[in-house]
Amino acid sequence: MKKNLIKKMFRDLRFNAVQFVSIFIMCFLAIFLLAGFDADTQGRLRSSDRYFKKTNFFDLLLTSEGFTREDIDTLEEIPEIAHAERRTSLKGKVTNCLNKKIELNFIESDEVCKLYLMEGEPFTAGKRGIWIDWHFAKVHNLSIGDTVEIDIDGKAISEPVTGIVDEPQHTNFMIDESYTEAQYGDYAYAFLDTSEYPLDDINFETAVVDLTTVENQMYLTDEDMKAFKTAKLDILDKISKTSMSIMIKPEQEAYAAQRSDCSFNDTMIAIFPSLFIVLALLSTITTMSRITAKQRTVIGTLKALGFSRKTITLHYISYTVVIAFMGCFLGLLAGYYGLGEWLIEDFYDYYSVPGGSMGMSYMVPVVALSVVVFSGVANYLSCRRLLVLSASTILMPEAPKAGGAGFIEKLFIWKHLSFATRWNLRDININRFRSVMGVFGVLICSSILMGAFGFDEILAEQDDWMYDDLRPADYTINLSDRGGYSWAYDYAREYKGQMIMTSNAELMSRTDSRLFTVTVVDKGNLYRVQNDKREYLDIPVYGAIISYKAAEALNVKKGGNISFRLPTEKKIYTVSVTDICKSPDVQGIIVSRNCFEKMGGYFDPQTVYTDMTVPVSIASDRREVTGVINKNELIHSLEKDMESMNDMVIVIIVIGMITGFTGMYNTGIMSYIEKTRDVATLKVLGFATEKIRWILQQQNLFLTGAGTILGIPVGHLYIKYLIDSMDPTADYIVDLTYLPYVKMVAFTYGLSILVNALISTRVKSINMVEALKGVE
Amino acid sequence: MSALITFENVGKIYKTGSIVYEALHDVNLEIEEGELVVILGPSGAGKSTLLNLLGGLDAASSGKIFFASEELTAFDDVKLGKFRAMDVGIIFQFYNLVPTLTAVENVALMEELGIKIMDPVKALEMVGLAERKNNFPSQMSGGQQQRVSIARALAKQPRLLLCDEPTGALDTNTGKEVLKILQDQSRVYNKTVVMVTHNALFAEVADKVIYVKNGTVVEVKHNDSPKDAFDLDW
Repeated sequence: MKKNLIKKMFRDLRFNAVQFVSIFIMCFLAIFLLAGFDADTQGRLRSSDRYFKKTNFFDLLLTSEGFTREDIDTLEEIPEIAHAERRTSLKGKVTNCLNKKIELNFIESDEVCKLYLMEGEPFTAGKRGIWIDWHFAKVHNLSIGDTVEIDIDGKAISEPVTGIVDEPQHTNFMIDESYTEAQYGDYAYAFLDTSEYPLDDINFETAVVDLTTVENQMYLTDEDMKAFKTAKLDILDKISKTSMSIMIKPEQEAYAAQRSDCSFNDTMIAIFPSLFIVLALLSTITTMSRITAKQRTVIGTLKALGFSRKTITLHYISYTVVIAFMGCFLGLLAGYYGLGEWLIEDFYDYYSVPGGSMGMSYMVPVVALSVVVFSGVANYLSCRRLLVLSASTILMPEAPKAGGAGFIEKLFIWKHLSFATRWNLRDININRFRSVMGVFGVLICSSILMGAFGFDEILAEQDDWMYDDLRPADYTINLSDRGGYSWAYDYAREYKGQMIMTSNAELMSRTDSRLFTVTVVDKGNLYRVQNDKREYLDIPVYGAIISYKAAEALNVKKGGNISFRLPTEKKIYTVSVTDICKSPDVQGIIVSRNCFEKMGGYFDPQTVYTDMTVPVSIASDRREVTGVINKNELIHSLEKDMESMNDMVIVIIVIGMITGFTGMYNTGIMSYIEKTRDVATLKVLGFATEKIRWILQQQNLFLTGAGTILGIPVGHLYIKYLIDSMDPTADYIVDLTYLPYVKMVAFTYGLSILVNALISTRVKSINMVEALKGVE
Repeated sequence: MSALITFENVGKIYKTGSIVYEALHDVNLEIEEGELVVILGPSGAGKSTLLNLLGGLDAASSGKIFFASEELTAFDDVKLGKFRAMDVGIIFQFYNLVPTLTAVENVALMEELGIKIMDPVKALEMVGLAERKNNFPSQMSGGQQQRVSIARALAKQPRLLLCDEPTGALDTNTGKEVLKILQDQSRVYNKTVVMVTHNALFAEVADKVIYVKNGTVVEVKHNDSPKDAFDLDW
């Protein structure tokens, strides 16, 4: 571009710094958030994809009462199946490592869900030794050749460390329910050859299957999903175990959790960057309309001097293109290397994916470039109105905008309105675009704040809801799943507790079947159920209560029937749905023990809830007890789990405030500049500064009110999006008190009044003579 | 002298919604190369419209305009732009400088039209403003700004200088100085200078005076002995 025109551009940018800084901030924030969340999502997906490909993550996971060698042979004869392996696991304690819990997996070969070797020898069938997880090895200083002493239900074994490994099924591994988030190193998982199985009879309860046609891992296609379905049908056809359940890869817990986290990122990407982009484009339109209007004479002169329309257009387009480019470029760098790195580091705290890194999709540069292009287009559209005119017309002063307050002037009330109100109503009507922009700026701010404060209240309510309303027990005793009913009964009697059985199960409706959880509840008042209005529901003597999310997924209504099959049973249970509940952490159905047993089910509880004090020491003293957790620990664990969510809420509030401030200040300044002549006239006529400031403030309060009211439903939409994007096993009750509304109104109005007060200080120092000149 | 500019039955109509306003009607005139022409008339007579058509700032609604035998009225936007860039220098009543460029940068702006112009500092020297070259318009008086505007117009050495009330915003002495510069352009450098004004006194410095009233040329007078600008009894 031309040297002197470039100088002019940079000086104009400096003289209109507020407007251009706000466009810069919007572009920066949009691409910052987009690049940050995208770096996290792409990093997760690509790293996990690489890792899963390298380790040949399973396509199907089969569970039954036991798989024989013949079953595996039959499976491998199915054309879609490349390989199948059977496995079993035991839980124990590492006696020479502070009695830490360990999950021992016994495998025959290492073709599917391969061990990712960090140190030592690769797994060899028939070889003695243990391949232990690298986090545990690191925390407990275990090296190749060290001996690990393990106690399994009273049986002691001793194994040399042969390999230090990671394993893809354990990317987000929690050894039992006492953990709500992965704490690597605090427990272990390990792999051994089946010849090392310490108990009498080995029973392979699971089988991992690799399909020939599914090569993809985290990027599954429709074809892959079809392949899962076909293979599932073929397996059910060939294997006669009616008790068998089949889990497809995307249903695996860690896999699903990663996908769910990515879906949260996608929501963040969908909401905030789009808002900022829209705001940046609207700011571009308003700013450039104002600048070109203000530089009407300059444009006319340039045209009269012989500059072509193309040159002048490109000159003015370059203003926002330069700013948008700078904002997008710096936003991309800061988003990728700042936010992205912070998010991905957080991810690797919870997920074990060796060789993980960040990533970037083509979408980020494309969106960044589009923002720059669109800002140029928006700029062109706002300048075009003037630039299409002839030089002589542009050089004529623009006629003042005519018009009144519209139909309101015809109403009886008009005559009774104050001068200030009438002046403001006319100003709003005459400058409709500017007014709509002002309302829109407030709407963006108020809706973000509404979403943030509302979500904050929902999160804050979550521990009360979970541990006061639904699971009020002071202690939870978790029992080994090998104990059966008698152990649970003994503890329930000793501590006057309530027994609960939970099991993954395939839930079947008339239209669909999915993996969910079946909870069987014994008599007592320590496991409760509520509907979406937080009203208690009685667990029916005969019938089931289904959680809202399960009902929605399976399209089941109150009064309908639901069937389920437990993983190690042949029997299909069918029960009527008596109610729909909201469940914060487990989705599926809840039935009473009485109902379950009447249907012929075997009540096998793993959890006892009690209000009596349970000594924590029994978890280490008694082998049947896998954990004793008191309520405070659960609340603390939940709060810790919510910490990142709370951080996110604070980030959203800050974003809302920044957006609000820049949006309001930008439109406020523009509005004030457009009103300068009116303000000067009022001042010349003798209006006091404070009186004029109050007139301006009145219009501001009115527009803020309109934006705030419109922000409420939009804010509720944000909340819905946020909740929908959370972990699929989690649910929330949206029953807001007046507080989020009060906070939102207070913050929005506070910001608006502050911005207006800042802008209207200019009234005092306005140069009446300059302002009333006919030309620039 | 041969006619540099010829108007043949030129008319200009402005339409605003349903309102039609005839600014010029059946205008015929000729302007010779090197002449200093003053267009005189009351407010609303059509002087500025005439000037706009002369400079290719606006298009005629009817009739033909010729510049050095080329028909301006047949030019498209691009050709008109080139015409303004190459052949016309415009001086406005309110100077119309770019406020964010210094004096020398305002003159140098013409370089960016892709044409060869004289050294911007030399152009400023011609109007006696070389020492203020790095001042922004807001740091100069009205007369100084008008001289920068003239330097900007002169820098590209156009054949035609169009001036719209060039002294309208200036005091008497400054006005005379500006007028003298413009007169010299015609007398010394053989530039065609067309000046629009409502000040009848300027008729005394012109070679030709065109009287405009109600959108038509009512009289064209030739002045055989034009006065020097400084001799005007202003």
